Amino acid sequence: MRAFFSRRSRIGRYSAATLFIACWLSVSTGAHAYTIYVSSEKDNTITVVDGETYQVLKTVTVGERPRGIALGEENKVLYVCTSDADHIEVLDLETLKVTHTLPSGPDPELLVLGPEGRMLYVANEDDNMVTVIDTQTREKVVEIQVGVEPEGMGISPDGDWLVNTSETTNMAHFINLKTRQVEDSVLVDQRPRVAQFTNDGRQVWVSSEIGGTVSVIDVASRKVLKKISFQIPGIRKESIQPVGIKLSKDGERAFVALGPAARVAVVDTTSLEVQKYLLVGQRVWNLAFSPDERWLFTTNGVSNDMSVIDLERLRTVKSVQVGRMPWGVVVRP
Amino acid sequence: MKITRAVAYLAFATNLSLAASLTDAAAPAPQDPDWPCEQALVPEIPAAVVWAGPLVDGLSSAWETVPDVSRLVQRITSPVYDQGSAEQEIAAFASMQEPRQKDEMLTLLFAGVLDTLNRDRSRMLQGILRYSRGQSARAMRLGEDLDEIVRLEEATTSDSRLKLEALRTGVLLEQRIFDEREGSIQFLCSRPVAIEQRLGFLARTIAAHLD
Repeated sequence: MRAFFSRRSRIGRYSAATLFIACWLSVSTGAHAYTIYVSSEKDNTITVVDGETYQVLKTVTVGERPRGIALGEENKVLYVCTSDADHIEVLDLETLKVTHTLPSGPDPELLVLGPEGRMLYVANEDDNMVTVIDTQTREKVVEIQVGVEPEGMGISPDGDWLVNTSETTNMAHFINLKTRQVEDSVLVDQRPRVAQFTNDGRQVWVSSEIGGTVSVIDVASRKVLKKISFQIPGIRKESIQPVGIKLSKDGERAFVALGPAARVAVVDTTSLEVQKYLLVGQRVWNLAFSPDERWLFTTNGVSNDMSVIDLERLRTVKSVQVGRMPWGVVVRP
Repeated sequence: MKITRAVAYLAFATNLSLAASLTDAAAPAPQDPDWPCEQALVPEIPAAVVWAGPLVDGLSSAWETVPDVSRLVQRITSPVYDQGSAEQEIAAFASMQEPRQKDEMLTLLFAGVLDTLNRDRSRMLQGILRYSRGQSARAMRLGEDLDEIVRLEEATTSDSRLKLEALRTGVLLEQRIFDEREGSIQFLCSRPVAIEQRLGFLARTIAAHLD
């Protein structure tokens, strides 16, 4: 029997046990006064998790297939893309009741709120549009034609530009929000999923699920500065599917969710090189920081949990079971 | 006549008929154009996705030669075997091992679970692909029948009218079958995910007993 093992590395033995015990048993993670919200597309729910204890406080039923979520009205409401209900639901975060809906157009998947806190921009996967909604009048303002199967939505910190990705056209569309016209389109790798601006507004990062890369685009020149690729020992390329991206406020690090690879990549934003891969739950999809950016939360669509990553130690420290097929995650301070 | 869904399939089906004939016998290729599920196709789940323990390279047939491991793998990978019982059996298996061999045996057990569930999942992926190709072929046939209907509508003979009537009835039936089968695709696509979930659960349970 031992012969079978003579070639194997034993390096990972203790780290494996440590990791899994840490992941799956309760640990003390310190005090945080915030709340985490997770959408679960199969259960049609929003799970409310206490940021201090990581206990599930409540599970709220919403419309069919909730996916993209965003905070609004000074963090008093949660906008929920209920994709199969074909509208946005507005969840009051004090009462945890849906108070009204917003007209999004068909199959809303992802959304982003303008920095002024009023205009909501929604990607409609089925009709190739970005819908602009005024959250005060609760009316659709305009629809902007984009590429086939729009998905990712990133807004520049000054609110001047919206970058929308189209899954089938494989482009990042730069939409001027003053004219509401597409002014440029940048070709990226296959099935772009998420667009995220850096905090200084100079770059936009676009993940490509099938292409397996993240394109770092210079906003001024609209040129791709680098395509970051990912290599994980023991995992084939087809399992590495970048989706969610989060960039730290200090501009030093980026975190990329790698889908079925069950890893979050830690990227140095200066060298644009991967520093480390963190093991999380199965099919990691979207990410959110705690307000102090000490912790990172991931939604894991197959293992039906949320992983908690300690960003000081760069370790996954906990798993919190949520609804089935968790998709979006946001943190309310 | 409700035909839009079938017609929408036609351009797609035309492009993939050659690909389908080439890949029938092979393992599903990444992003096979016939793949109907929303999740991108991943033909095989690598160990590293769910396992941070000792390497399992070279163990893919070794586990089958150890009867205790082989029997346990067979039981705990069954889709009808409940998770609580699997946890108990794995714990009992771990406690039976000599301390110096425990991690090796647990790793062998994981290798068996991985092999077995990947094999089950691969069969399932092939089934989904066959189903999807069947839908494409059905859509092609519907398209041909619709062309024939257009041709017969322009004809004036009584024989043509009879053929037209029969063809319309046939198309309606085929359309209904097509739509019903379409409705099952979402469920089919959820089946490989259930296997991945079981793999993740078993991997974590086994790893929890590693020293």
